[in-house]
Amino acid sequence: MRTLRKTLLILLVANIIRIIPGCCTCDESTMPFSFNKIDITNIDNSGDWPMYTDRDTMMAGAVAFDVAIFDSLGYYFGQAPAINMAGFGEAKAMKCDCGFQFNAQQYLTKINITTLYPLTPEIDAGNDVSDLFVAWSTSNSSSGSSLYSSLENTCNQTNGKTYYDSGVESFGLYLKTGVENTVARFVIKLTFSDNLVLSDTTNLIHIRNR
Amino acid sequence: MKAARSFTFAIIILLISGPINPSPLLAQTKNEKEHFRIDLQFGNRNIYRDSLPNGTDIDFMNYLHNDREYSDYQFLDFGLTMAPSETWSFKAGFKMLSDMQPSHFSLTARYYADSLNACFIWGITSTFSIYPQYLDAFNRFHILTDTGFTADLNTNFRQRTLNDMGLDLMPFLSFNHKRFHGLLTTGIGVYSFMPFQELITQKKTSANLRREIRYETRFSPSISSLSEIEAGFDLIKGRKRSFGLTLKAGLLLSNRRIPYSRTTVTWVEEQTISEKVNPDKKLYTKSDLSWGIYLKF
Repeated sequence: MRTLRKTLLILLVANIIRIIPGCCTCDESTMPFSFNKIDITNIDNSGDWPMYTDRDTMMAGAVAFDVAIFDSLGYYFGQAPAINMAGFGEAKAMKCDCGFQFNAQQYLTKINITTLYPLTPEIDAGNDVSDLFVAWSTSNSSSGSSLYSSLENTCNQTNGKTYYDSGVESFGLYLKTGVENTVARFVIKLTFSDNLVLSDTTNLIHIRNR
Repeated sequence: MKAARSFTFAIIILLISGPINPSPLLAQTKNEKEHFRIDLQFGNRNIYRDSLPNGTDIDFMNYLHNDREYSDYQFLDFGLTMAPSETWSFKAGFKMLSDMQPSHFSLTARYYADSLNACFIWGITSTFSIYPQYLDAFNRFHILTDTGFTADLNTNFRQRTLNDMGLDLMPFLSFNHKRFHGLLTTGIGVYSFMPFQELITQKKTSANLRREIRYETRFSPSISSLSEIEAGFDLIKGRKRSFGLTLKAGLLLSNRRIPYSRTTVTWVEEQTISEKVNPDKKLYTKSDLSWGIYLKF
């Protein structure tokens, strides 16, 4: 009887000791990826908060686009590790909820926006209108601020950035000037630290004033 | 019921008579004049301030909580007074509003200078106190003035606590005759609302323009007039213990303002305009009326 009690005690202590460090361990390694694809989505910013939209109609003062850049190989989400069921390989008191970390091999250095149609009588087609845009980060580094940031700051924050769970950088681009034309369309050109240039053209946007 | 009455009677008799056989040693060492007093009161408070029309700048004083139908605040007041001698007494107190969280704090020192006759004693009292009140829906200013904008993207009811802190010094006149006693106090103090920060986030209707208006208030000490009157009646009066009813009224009167810095940030953090605003002073009064019980031992 004493032997059984001792055995149970030793087993109990051993398992308690294993549980304590087994609460959760996360793999700190990062997965490299490259930005090589760009995707532009229209934003309806006529309300209090921006919303993605499929419609190609925007208010004259609320022209906005969401730009997403990512790796075309598809590192959107990390692969969950296989569950090890053999023996007492891992004793965990709770499920380990770790974010997968991604590191881009290049970062944004410049955002250029060119209008394909006149915006106002003073701003002709073909003009660089980058200074008329501000950005709002929507990826996982978003500060939560209700204000925009400059395009320069948006580029800077991608330098050395770690992406969790999905290797996607996304930000909204918001035009500060009201469009005085019935249509608008822009070419968005992103330049990266490795001199890669990604470029895409927005849909033709129909402008409404009311 | 009969048992409950007997029990209550026994407690009262015990309180009045004291220990049946007090230790002679204890009786010799204890300061005969030392006493304690516990107060429990319920009270109502009204805050009045002159309300001026809104100008180009918000005046937070316009948004102090104001219940037009009932008292602005009801509170429970707890106080513990220790008088180590005939000449000094010290009181610590706290009050609770309807949330039943201790939120008002006060420390009072009272010096009994001299007796005028058998009934009256005069002296000096000084109190450090802090009490809260509410600022309600201060975003209404922006809703009214900032047309063409969603004036506040925070859709919650905008209410915050505003603490008023002060130190006063007041002469008093104390009255004691048989079972009646009272206290009349009047003097001045320095009070200031504690600084706070508030953020209003706005967006232009059907447009991309966003801005933040950041308020940061500052201290603005103000001379205040304070008066208090307190009356008590000993329902049960023993040699060492007494139990009674008390009624208390107080008035704080001052000209107050809440100065602040306003930072308006438009589009991006780099586009910032900061201004200092000093609204006009306006009449501010706080009147308390409370009643309750006390036990002195």
